[in-house]
Order: sequence, then structure tokens, then C-alpha cells
Amino acid sequence: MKKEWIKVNSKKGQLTIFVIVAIIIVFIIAGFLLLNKNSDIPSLKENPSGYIKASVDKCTKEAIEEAEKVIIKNAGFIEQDNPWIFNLTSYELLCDSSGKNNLCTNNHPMLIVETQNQIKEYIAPKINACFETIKSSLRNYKYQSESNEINVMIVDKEIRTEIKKDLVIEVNEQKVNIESFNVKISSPLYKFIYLTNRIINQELDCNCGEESCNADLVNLMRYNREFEIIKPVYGMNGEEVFTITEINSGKQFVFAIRNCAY
Amino acid sequence: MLTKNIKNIFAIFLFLFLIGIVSSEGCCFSPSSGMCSMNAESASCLTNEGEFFASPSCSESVCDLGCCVLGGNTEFVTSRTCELNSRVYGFDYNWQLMDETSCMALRKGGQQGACLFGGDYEKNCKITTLDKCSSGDFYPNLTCTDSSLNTICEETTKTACYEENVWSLDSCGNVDKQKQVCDYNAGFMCSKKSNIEAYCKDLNCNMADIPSTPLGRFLWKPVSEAGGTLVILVSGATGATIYGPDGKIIERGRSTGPSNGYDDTIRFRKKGSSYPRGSFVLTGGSRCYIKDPSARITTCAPLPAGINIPIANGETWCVGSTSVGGRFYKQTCINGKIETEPCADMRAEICDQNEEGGECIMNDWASCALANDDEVDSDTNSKVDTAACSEIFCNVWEPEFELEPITGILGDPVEPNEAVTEAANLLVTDLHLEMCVPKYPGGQQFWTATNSEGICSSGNYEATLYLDHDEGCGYWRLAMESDTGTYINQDTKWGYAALVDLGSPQITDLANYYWLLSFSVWRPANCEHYGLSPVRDNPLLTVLTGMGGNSATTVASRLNANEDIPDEAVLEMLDERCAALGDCAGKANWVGEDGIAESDSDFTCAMDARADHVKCEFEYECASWRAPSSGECGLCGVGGLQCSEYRCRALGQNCEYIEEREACVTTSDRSAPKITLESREPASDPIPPYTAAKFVISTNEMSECKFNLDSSGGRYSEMKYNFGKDFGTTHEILLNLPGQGKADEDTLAYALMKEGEHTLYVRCLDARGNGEAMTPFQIKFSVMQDPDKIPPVIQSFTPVSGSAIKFNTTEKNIRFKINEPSECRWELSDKEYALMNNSFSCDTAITDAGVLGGYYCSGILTNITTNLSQQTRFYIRCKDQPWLADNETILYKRNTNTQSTNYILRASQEFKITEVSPVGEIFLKNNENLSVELKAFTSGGGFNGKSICKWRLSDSLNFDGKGYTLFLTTGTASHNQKLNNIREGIHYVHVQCEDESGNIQDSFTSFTLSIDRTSPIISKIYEKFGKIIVKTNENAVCYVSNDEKVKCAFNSENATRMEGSEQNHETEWVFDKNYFIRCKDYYGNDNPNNCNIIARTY
Repeated sequence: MKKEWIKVNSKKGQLTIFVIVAIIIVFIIAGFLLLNKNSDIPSLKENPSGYIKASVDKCTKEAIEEAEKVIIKNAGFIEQDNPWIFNLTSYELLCDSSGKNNLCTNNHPMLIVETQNQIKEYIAPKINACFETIKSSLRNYKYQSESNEINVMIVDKEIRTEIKKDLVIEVNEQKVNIESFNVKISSPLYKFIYLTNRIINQELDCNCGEESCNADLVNLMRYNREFEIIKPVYGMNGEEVFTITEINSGKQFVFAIRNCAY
Repeated sequence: MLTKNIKNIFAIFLFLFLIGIVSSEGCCFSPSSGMCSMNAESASCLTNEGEFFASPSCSESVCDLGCCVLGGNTEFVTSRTCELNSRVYGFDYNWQLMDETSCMALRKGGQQGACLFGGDYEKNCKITTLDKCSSGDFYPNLTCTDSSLNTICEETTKTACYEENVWSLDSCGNVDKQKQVCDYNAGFMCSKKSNIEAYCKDLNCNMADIPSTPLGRFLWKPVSEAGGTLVILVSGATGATIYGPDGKIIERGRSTGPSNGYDDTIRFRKKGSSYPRGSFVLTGGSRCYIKDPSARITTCAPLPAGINIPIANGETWCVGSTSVGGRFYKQTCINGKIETEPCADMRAEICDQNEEGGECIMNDWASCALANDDEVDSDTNSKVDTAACSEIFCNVWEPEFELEPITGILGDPVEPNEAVTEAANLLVTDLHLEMCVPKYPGGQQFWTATNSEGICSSGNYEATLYLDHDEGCGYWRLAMESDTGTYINQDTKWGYAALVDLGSPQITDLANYYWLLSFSVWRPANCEHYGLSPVRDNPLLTVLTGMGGNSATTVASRLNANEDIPDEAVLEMLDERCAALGDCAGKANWVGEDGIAESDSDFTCAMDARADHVKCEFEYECASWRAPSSGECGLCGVGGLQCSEYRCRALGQNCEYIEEREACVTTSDRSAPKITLESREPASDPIPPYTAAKFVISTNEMSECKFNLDSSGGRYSEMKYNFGKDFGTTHEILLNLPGQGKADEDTLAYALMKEGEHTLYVRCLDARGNGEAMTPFQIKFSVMQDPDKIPPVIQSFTPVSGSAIKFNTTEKNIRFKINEPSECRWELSDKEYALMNNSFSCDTAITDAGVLGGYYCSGILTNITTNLSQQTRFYIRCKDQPWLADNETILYKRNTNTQSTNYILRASQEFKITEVSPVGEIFLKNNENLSVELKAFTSGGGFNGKSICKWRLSDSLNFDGKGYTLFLTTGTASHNQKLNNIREGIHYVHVQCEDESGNIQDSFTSFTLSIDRTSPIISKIYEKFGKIIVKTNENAVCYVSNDEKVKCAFNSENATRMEGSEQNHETEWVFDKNYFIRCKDYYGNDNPNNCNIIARTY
């Protein structure tokens, strides 16, 4: 049976196809090499310590970034604790009032600690999976490890993670001993929480029922110009939604309060 | 063990008890961050290792905010936060107690410089501070592009925001030079326009940016021009400013709050002898042109576009009204944008406009009712406890009777008589209509059956009047009470007289001109008491005149039948008071539409128990407000003013609020939103290349919209892109062009437009879900072709470059393919296109054939060398887009080859047909398919004999009418064709060959075809060297047999083939044998069963 999947009318045409195929192969190889080069992960055989640290670093950063994406929408939580649903959207009420003309109670005064714990809980299984992957890639080598401890710290402009894990690997008679991994990503989370704290405090510095309780957002923005703070949503019962946006990155931290309910 | 577990369980319960049951609010201090949280929940604080203080306001010193100096930066934080952050960034702890403004003033950049690292000669570089340049060489106050540093970083045109100013960036991504200072205090802030461009953004807003809001009718009313002050009352806004024609502020009005149902009283100072005349711009952006001061009431229009009235960054103001559904909003200009913050709905808060701006404050309107007593206080002669009537939230509403000017008998205007007005007001005062009413009455849920009745019913009014017949004097008199002893005309007490008649101007009696009161204090001599007796045209007089002695029943029935009782002016006052109480009858809604509820009044008289008394009862009922039967529900939420059920319901009884969508919809709405294209930028069609296009559509109701580009899609939910982000009536998108980055922060990642015609298919879904399967709204537009910036490309030549031309010629007609329509020229030397003199004939327009198969030029090249050892080089250049000749623009220009395409031609050798076969006689077998192989060979020419050859046959030398046939195999120097079914005889052959150079050569030959039908003949047989030698007259194969039985009838299989070939054959000589020999020629002719020869050896 005659195959007709390529119809070549002349030798010149065949040559052209060969040239194109050759170019594609060259590009694929070049791309592969380039991607490998860009991965920034050192070779296991040449630099086992660097290989493991870079792998953990990459894995942890991805996990923290994922966590950050979720929690800034939920006012510092992976899953909302006290949601208020409005216009088909759910907002976390960080400060909630129980009765008419009552000041709201700050339910999360230690928000930064709670958020650190939330991140830690979120990234822990992912980091464990990461170590499992590393372990399987080292199956031909000696690999010993002890259970790890993860600490997350939210500081100004950064989220820092320390993974304490005793790891001993022998690669080509080279013994590597790693005790901890320190990974950090840039993040406005600290400032988000700082501003949230100040907004709630200002809303609470008020005599409910006697005066209108509003944080001075204009001044907060004046002194924190890299952030924009708006109240895009108002509920019928004293609910207010705040959105803090880091102007450069566009990242938004969203939370709600229900203060001085009518 | 068990004991230990019990202890643990007990401890857990104790803990849960402590955090769960004894949980309280206080101040929570976080030692790990240094932050303090007011009114914090103790349980949450303690479980997360916070320190808890009883004072909810965080008055502890650890919570004091102060200034933390971190290098050149400062932060307004607690001392603990400062301590932690100093540790994180390696700074010395430096915290001072001060206010935030002072702290921010301390901010300064740390000494920065170029940090050089890596490389032996050209180094990499980063701008940083000395403490962060530990591994490099630090050069303070130098940038990375400083020539003395010799770094790899170069200056670029890119800019970015750095330390709040615009700086250029170097090629290494460092800030390089300060390009622009953005002074925040002057209203500018650095902002990113794109990833490579920053600018000082104007943070001020423009009045025109304030969304047009349907706050209702904007009315103004000059109340008085006394005291050098023009007073106007406005509805629908608080605050106003007068702007001159140039947009500059002439005067800001002094706002003093609502009055008599208007939302604000604004006073303007008198300028010299006249009052300011200009455009009154009400806060909120609506503007009134006072064209006719005597008109007194003017409807204002929204601020016209294009008028630039700046609003300073940070400035706040109020908008809102006390109409039904009205709500107050605080608007703020923040960094160039206008943010709207609603005060609490139903006017639980109002916006207080003061010199510092606007602010939402509590509105304790409900307390005003507490200041109203049922009884008249004998000391104050008022039903209002003025001390309890809050000056902040309430007004004492007092009726005021105002006489309208009348036209005198001579047609001239006659001003009201002050004495009469005073007397009338004295009558009104005795009605005791005064009431403490809210300045900004709160909203009521008027849509529920009884919700607002309580508020409005306080505006009800009742009065009982008695008509007493004085037997002594025979007149009916108005009495206050049913007993005979008290009449209302005592001293200054007038009782309910005003109810019955405040009177009307009397112009018939000039003597008593304007003595409108139809009562007179009257006691005839024979009457026992003074009485207020109806006189002249008083309706009572009409009813009662001559009624002396009539029965009370008759009097009462006549009174009830009289339409002028009670007095219209009093009813108007009661209506006004009713409307001032809240959402009661007589008010308009927030878009200016009147409600349909009307207050009711009743006046009935009946005979009293005493025969000489008629008892009349007056009742006024202040009704709850009812929305118009139908309204434009979609207005709710427009202009960024948040919708609510209260606002929605006020629009009309057909409006329903859907809380989940915060939308006000028509209850009977079954229609998809109607979409209108509002604008497109740029408006030109087609859209110029490299331009993002902004589309703004509006919908007739609140909705959310989606679109597809160039595909209609099936349903709303299947559409790909959101048309804007919001659920509203205005929707906006910005479409980008390929390769174009995000224009600014507002740009969404929508589909990219390519050149050509496009259609946006838009569907919108309203709050009720109408629109899911609507016919999509189509927006057609086209995008201009991208400017062609690439010169044309010559793709192939015929003949190919390097070809030889026809032997012994010097010209050649060539053709070449180009990628686009162009004009092309050639020269024998390399020149610019414009200087070339020889043109080709080219395809100059885009055609379907051209798009598919390309475009071509052709022309004759001359002066080609005939020297075989040389070649002639031609230089060809082309210029594209011939249609732009004499019509080029900055954007669209023709592109010309800046380099020539070389084309070479050379001379060719003489072209020859070197051989044609067959020639001469050809023998073929008998009964065989008669075919011959026609062959031709060529040499020379332009391609070493490579040519195309064709042939034709003829029976004679005359080839007329004989057509050519291409050789089956041709195109090289050897050409073949098998000729089948050729007849015997002579055939004349004409072969013609032509090479690509145009060389043509002919060759004529002939051959004769014969068929061999005779068997071979042995011409000689003899012995030689022990072999029998046989010779045949033609080529043959011979067989020999010695079988005496079959003799000559042998089969070749049973015989021996004689050695040799063609005409010579031999076999072994064996003594005394008979040799039976049979031969067969090459064409198969033999003598079956007959020998050619029988020979015997001896």
C-alpha cells in the first residue's frame, strides 16, 4: 500500500524538509539545554549539597507563594474562620459585633501568629512531599533523614521559613550533612497585617452609637504610599470590606469587619 | 495512671472554661510582632501567646506608637515592633515617642552608591547601601553608569518609581538618574505607566470625574437677601460653591444645615451691591445656572463635561439627601480617584460637611420625638420641650403663614400687610402645631404595612370646635369648649380659629383692605360674652348668617357641606410638618418622584348635647409615604452610590431589591438587559495600529457582561471574557494589540486584536438572570493593518541566476517572484533604487492570486556577454506598496531594498543534438510486438545538453500535420521514448530539443523496420581441430542430436546446444556418427522437424 503522508515532488523539496526538521531538532536540543541551565539546580553528582538545597528552596518557595495567594484573599487564613457573604463573595470578618451599636470584638488580635501557623500548616505536607521526591532521586545513594520541624516568620517585606531537618547523604563517597534549610520570599504580608491592625484599632477607637466609626484611610495611605486602601463593599448591618493593595505587585489583602451594627 | 488522665482532662476543661466562658474583651499585645489589638478577644489572644490587658483601648505603654528609625527609613510602630524589625534588618534600635507626621518627616534615604562585583575588567553593578555591599566594592553616591566605574551597565530610556520620584533605569535594572521629582504635598505621586515607564501622577481629582448621580431634583431657592447675605435652600445636596466662567472658585457657600424640608441652607456673602452671580455647583457635581433670579426655583443640570474644577487630593465632601430613599455619602479624592463611602443607610448616619471636609456622623433623629409633649407648657406656651430638642439633630418646626403678594385693583403688585400677617400668625400660633422634628429625618421601612405609621402618626392633628348660640343676642359664636363659660376671643387666645378660617385677601372693602380675618372681636350690647364672630365673607358667616334660632343639626350639616372648611393654608402647614417628620406623605423620593400617599383630613359637625351647641371635629392624618407605582429601578447603585433595599423600594412599587447582587430590579422583569455602546476610544475606524481600544457599554439595568471576540458563543455562561469587573450599568474594557504590554493597572488581560475586521459579541446578565441566551449585542470594528516596515523580498528567478542564455544572443527575458506587490528596477552596477534606470513590469496590487501564488516581475535584461569565460551581473532592487506612491504618511511608508539582489547570466555554448537512434534498417521477429526505442542525445547549450526534447514521425519527409510528443524521459542530455506498434517500412523522425537558455535544435533521421520470417541456413560445415564447425547465414542458435530414432524431430531439450554464437557454432567430433543439426535464428525462425543439415563423421 502506498503511503502518501508526505508527497515530495522533487529532490529540492525533500532537501527543504530535511533542513526544517534539522532546524527543529537543533532548537529542541538547544531549548532543552537552556531550560536545564535555567533551572539553577546544581548537578547532584558535582554538588550534592547545592542540589538538595536548591531543590528544597524551589519547592518551598512554590508552596509559600501558593499559600500567600490563598491567605491574602481570606484575611490571613487558608479557610475563612468567620465568613460574611455578600454579593456572592465571602469575606473574613476579623472584627465582629454582636449587638446593636456595639463595638466589634477583634477575634484575631494575634493575626500575624495565626497567619504564620496557617502558612506552616499549608506548606508542611508540600515540603514533606518535596523531601520524598528528593529521596527518590537519591535512591542510589545513602540517604538518612529525621523528621523535620518547620518555622514560618512573617517579617517586613518577606516571609521566612526555616526547615530544621537532619539530613545525611553520601554521594560518590562524599558525605553531606545538612541540618536546616532557610527559604524566604518577598511578600507584603507583614505590611498587610500591620495596616489591618491599624485599621481595626482606628475603627474601634470610637464611641459606637454616638459617633461614626471610621478609620482614617487617607492618612494611612499618605504614610504608606506603596499601598492603596479602599472600602469597596458596605453591608446593611455595619459590615465594611477593606481591600489593601500593594500598588507595585497588585497583591490584594481583603478583610471585613462588622462594627457598630445598626 | 488513671489519676493522671483525670487531672489532664480536668486541666483541659479548666482551660476551655477559661477561654470559652470567661472570654472577654481587652487589649492584646503580641510580643512576637509588637502589635496591639484593641477590643480583642481574650481567648484568641491567650491561645496564640499574646499578653492580655483589661483595658480595651490599649492604653498600656507597650502599645504606644512611636517612630522607629531603620537606616534611612522610619516606621510608626510600637517599641517592641521596632526592636524586632531592627534586629531583622541589622539596625541599631532607635525608637522615639512622637506622632506619625513627625515620624514620616524623618524618613530619608540611606547613603547609597554603586556596589561593584564580579568580572576582572567590566564589572557588574548594583545600587545599594554600604551595609548591603559586603561582597563588593562600594562607591558612595555614584550610579552604575558612571564612566569612572567601567561597569557593564549602560544608560537606557526606561524609567521607574524610586523613592517616590521618577528615575531612569540602567541596563542592569538599577536606578540611574532622577528624571522627575513627584512632590506629594503638591499633589503628585510617582506611578507606573508600564513596566518601562513611570511618571508623576496628578493626585488631584476633577469635579467632572464625580460620577453623575441621580440625587434628585436640584432646587435652589433664595430665601432672603437681607443682611448682605444671599441664602439659598437646596435639595439633593449639602454644600455649594460658586464658580466663575473660568472655572475658578468665586465663593464657597457657608452651609448651615437643612431647613423646612430642604437638605441644606447655604449662605453667600453679598459682594458690594450685588450678589454673586455664576454657576452654583452643588457638591456632587450638579450645577445650577441662575438665569432668572425671580424664578426662585431652578432645576440644576449635571456638571457639563470638559470643565476642569480641581479637587485637591485628600479633600472630602458630602453628597446625599433626606428624600425618601436618600442616603448620605462621603466622597474623597484619593490619589486621583474619587472614592465614595456611604454613611449608614436610612440616614442612621448623615454626612457632616464642615470646613475640614465631610464626615459621616451618627444621626440621632429618633430622639427629636421625645421633646414633643401632648400638653402646652404654661410657661413656654409651647408643646415642645426646647431643652430636649437637640440642636444637633433636631429643629423646632414652627408654622409660618406667609401672605402672597396680590395684584391690586389698579393691576399693581400689592405687598402683604405686615399687621395682617402678624395677626394671621397669631392665629396659627394658637393651633400649637410646633413640633421638634429631625433635621435629617431617618428613613423608614415604608414598604411594610405599619412600619412608618408610628413616625408619621405623630404628625396627626385633632381639634374639636364648638359653635355656641348666644340666645341673648341671637348669634352663633365660635367657642373653644363645650361649656358656655369659655370663649376663645379672650385676650390673645384664638384657639382653633385659624382652622376654620385664616382668611383670604379681601379687596372689595378698601377700608378694611387686607383685613383678611373674617372674625372680629365682637360683643353686642345685649350679648353676655365677647365672642369671635364670623363676619363678611367668612364661610362660617355664609353658613350661619341668618341662622339664628336654627337647629344645631341644620347648622352642622351646612358646615359639613362647606368645602372651604378647614382652611387650605392650615392644611398646607400640616402637610409640611408631616413631611418633615420622616418618610411620610408629601415627600419626593431620591430621584425627585413624588410618593402616592396623601394625608387625609376630615371636618364633621354634629349637634351637641346642648341644643344651642354644634360640635365640629377636625382630624388630620399624616400618612406614611408610599412609593410611586412604578419607577426606574435601575437607577439604584448608579454613580457608585451604593444601592440598598431602602433606596430601591423608594424608586417604585415595581422595584425589588436582590441583596445577593446588591441590585434593584423590576419585579416583572423578564427581559435581558438592553445594551448600548456608549463610546469607543479611539473612535476612528479602522483603529490605528499599535493602539489599545477602549469600549464602554451601558445597560439599562444593573448587570454583568461578558464578551467573545469574533465568535458569538451560545450562552452567557459560555462566553470567554468579562466585560468589565463590576455588576453595574456601565461596563468598560480595554483591548490590547499583539505585542503590546499592559498599558496601565486598569488594563485587563483581554483578547488581543489583530489587524482586520472584528466583532465583539456581548451578553449581559441582570440580577434576575435574564440575558443568559440573549441575542448577543454586536460591536463591529476593524483594526488597521500594521505598517509594513519590511522591504520586499525577491524569492526566485526564472531562469535561475547563473543561467546561460541562448547561444549567440545578448538579451534575456527573465521573471522573478516577490513576496509582496512591488516595483522593481535593475542596473548593471549597484545603485540605490532611485538611481536605477531600468524597470521591470511587476504585479503592483494585492490580488487573490497573488496571495496564493505570490507576485511576479518580468523584463528583458540586455548587454549580456557572449564571452563563454565571462558572466554578466545584474543588480535588482524593489520598492513595496506601490499604492502608497505620492501618498505616504509618517506611519505608512514604502520600503525599498537597501541592498541589491544579484542576478547573473552568462553566454551558452552551441546546442546540439548529437545522436538520434534508431537509424537504418531494423529487423524484428515475426509475430512480435513491433516496437523500437527512440533515443536522442543532446550537448552544449546553456546547461550542458540538459534540455527538453520532443519527437514526431512521418511516412515521408513531409511532417506537415504531425504533432510533437515529448520524450517519455527528457529534461537531461539523454532522451528516450519507446515507440510501440510500429509498422514495417521506412519511418522519418523529427526530433526537436530546447534548453532553458532558449537554444533550439532540430534533428531529422529515418529508420526502416523489417521482419525476419526465414529460418537460418547453414552456409558451411567442416571439421577443425576435432570439432565440427558450422556457419549460418544469420545469427542463430544451433542444436545437434545423434539420436537415430528421432533423427531431425528432436526437441531442443533432448538435444545439445552447439557452442558459439551468432553465425559460428561448433560441437565435438565423434567418429562414425550422424549429426542431426537444426538452427533457429534470433527472431525464432527455424525448421521444425527438419534439419538444417545431417552430417556423418567418418
